[in-house]
Amino acid sequence: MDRRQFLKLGVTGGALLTMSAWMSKGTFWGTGTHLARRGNYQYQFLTEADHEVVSALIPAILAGTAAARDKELAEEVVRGVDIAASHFRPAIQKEIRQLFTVLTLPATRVLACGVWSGWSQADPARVEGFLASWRNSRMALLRSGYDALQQLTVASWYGNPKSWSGLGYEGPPPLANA
Amino acid sequence: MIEDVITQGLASGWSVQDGSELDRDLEMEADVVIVGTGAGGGLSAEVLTRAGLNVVLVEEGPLKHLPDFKMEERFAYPDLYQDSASRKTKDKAINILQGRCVGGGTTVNWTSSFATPDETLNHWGRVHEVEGFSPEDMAPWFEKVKARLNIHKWPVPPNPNNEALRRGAERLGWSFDFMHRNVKGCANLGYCGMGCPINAKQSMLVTTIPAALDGGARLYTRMRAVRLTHRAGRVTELVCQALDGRGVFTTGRTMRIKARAFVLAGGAIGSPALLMRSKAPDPHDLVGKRTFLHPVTASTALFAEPIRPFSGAPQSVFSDQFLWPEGVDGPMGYKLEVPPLHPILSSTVLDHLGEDHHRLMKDFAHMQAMLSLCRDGFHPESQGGRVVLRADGSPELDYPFTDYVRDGFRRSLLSMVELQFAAGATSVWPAHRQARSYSQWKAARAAVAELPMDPQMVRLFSAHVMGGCPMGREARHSVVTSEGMHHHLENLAVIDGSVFPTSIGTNPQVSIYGMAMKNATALAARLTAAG
Ligand SMILES: Cc1cc2nc3c(=O)[nH]c(=O)nc-3n(C[C@H](O)[C@H](O)[C@H](O)COP(=O)(O)OP(=O)(O)OC[C@H]3O[C@@H](n4cnc5c(N)ncnc54)[C@H](O)[C@@H]3O)c2cc1C
Ligand code: SF4
Repeated sequence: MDRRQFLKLGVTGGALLTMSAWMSKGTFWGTGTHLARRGNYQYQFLTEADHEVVSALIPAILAGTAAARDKELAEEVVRGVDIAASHFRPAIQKEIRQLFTVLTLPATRVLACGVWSGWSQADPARVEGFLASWRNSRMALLRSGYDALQQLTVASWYGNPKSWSGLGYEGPPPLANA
Repeated sequence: MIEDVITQGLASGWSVQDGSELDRDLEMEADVVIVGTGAGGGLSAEVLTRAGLNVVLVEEGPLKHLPDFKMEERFAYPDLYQDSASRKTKDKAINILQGRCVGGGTTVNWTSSFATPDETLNHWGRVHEVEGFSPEDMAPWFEKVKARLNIHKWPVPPNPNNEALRRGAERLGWSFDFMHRNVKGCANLGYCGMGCPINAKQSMLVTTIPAALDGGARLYTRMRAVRLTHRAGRVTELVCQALDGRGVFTTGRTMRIKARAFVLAGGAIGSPALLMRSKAPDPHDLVGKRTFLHPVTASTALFAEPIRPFSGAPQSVFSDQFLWPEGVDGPMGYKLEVPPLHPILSSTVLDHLGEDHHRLMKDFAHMQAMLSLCRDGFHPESQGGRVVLRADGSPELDYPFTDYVRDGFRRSLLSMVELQFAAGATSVWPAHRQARSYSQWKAARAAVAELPMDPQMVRLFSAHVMGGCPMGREARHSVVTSEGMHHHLENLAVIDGSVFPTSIGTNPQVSIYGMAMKNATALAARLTAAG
């Protein structure tokens, strides 16, 4: 993102954050704003629209890992993010909700992320570019947004025993007399 | 099957109630209510129960014990830590690890055991008007704690992660030593941070809390203390709200407890927040201020040989070479240690994106990490952070950076990188967003000298939250007396890490145990004398 866009975000960002906070309160409405569901798993925190975002982030954040190539593993990563988010205290859940609202509302998606298409059609290089720009942004708010997305995603994947063979980690030792 | 003191105690009829399962509101009376069951609360519970007092323990977290400890981060973090181990400062610059379970931080801590340094105790007496905490006063209390928690010098050779610290320090001519640990029958597994799966760690969960419950204390879990009611200089009642099974939302059930005395042991951040929500008298605007973190900088290195940083006692070697560089109140000092590395912890510390992240994680078994505990609170330019309440009453910590702490962060990064190269690292990444992995000390030194020490640029952590309800003689400068009694509410004590007027300068658990044993003993004496 260039400097002009920062300024724009500075002016409109506050209003959009307020609006998104209000929208994400109470009931979910509109397209994709109901909680996601996959197979038997009922999502607790992520909406359909959020699910699309996290799914689009995985190939960028977890590039090189099995989760970036395998749809089922990717779904496990999204589910892990949901479990983590739904265990945060309400005040933190609210912050994560605001972050996802910025990512899912078309206006803020374009303005803050530079992603023009919907997430499911987003070009992976674009997604990576957006994450890199937040990571190195001069705005502390965007840097911390990157941290939240990166940490939720990698924690979900590397907490999953299926990732461990790629690390040279064989998992917890067996307990002799357990 | 390994014997589990909790399983046995529950079977023997301990009084333990999971608040999330309450189907009605509760009202009760006790001699003493203790809020929080960590280092301060757990130790106080045993002392007060042994004195014959009728004790109620209130804990926001769940009771998790041996059968729950699976040595997996994805279960341990949501079960046992504040905010699933991702509590952060207000600006999100520092990631804070704090326990939230029966045993508090002691259930998940890494067992490193150090008495309070003499430098720190003397500084408190000299600058903060703390009485009765000279090294001579405290020595007998630390001896008692040592005996109670089986603290001893760890005799097993360090794992390769810690050995790298020893080797690097030796080659550079820096001081180093081996650690003491509070363990009994430790199998050197390395999973202390997820709850010890064999009850070897002598945490409050398996020592003082069982003793208190055996003595008739009552424990309420998933129960959050929200407010103290006070009138005419005395606390009359504690009001609590029950939490759901995940510990996220309140269920609507409440508990009210009347008692002769109230002990706050919710830890730093937790105890000041309760005072703030209760509007406890604070005429000098001190509560929650001067909260310290030992902000931790980190550096990870790759070695040609396997390090397996997840295996073996997490911490066994340390270096105090830079702890008191120019005396106690000179430039910020730091203590060098290593953290244990597990997949979630490491993957979130490495903030790289995509392929860069994957490349580092692939070498996880060859990764070595260093940490520096930066000693905050000893210098006028290191005032720590301030606890603030969100609209819903939950606390967060605002911790501003000053040039003084930035200078400490930079020097500590340099020391760690230098040590890792001396120990034989093939590449080193100082944990900073704009740093690369360097293969030579000279290049790394030049780069670190230029890195901006700004929030979310320098990667910072803390597992040691202290202060916010400082003790001392004068009500103008402290929240509680040196015996932990509130200056304005006569039957209220604070007995946890929040009473320290500065950070400790070393891992704090033993400092809390020593202070708690001393101040809970004094409280018990007063309460039993008053009958
Ligand atoms: C991962 C980790 C590793 C560590 N390693 C070491 C180490 O090796 N050596 C060392 O010396 N120290 C270590 N520490 C630090 C040490 O464990 C803590 O300093 C110590 O436990 C703090 O004790 P405390 O009594 O102040 O609070 P805590 O132990 O944090 O206990 C406070 C308790 O109060 C509860 N609580 C808070 N607010 C409320 C409320 N309103 N109502 C009800 N309950 C409430 C919390 O849930 C918590 O269980 C480590 C800490 C962590 C997290
Ligand atoms: S290292 Fe020892 S104390 Fe720590 S978890 Fe393993 S057995 Fe328990």
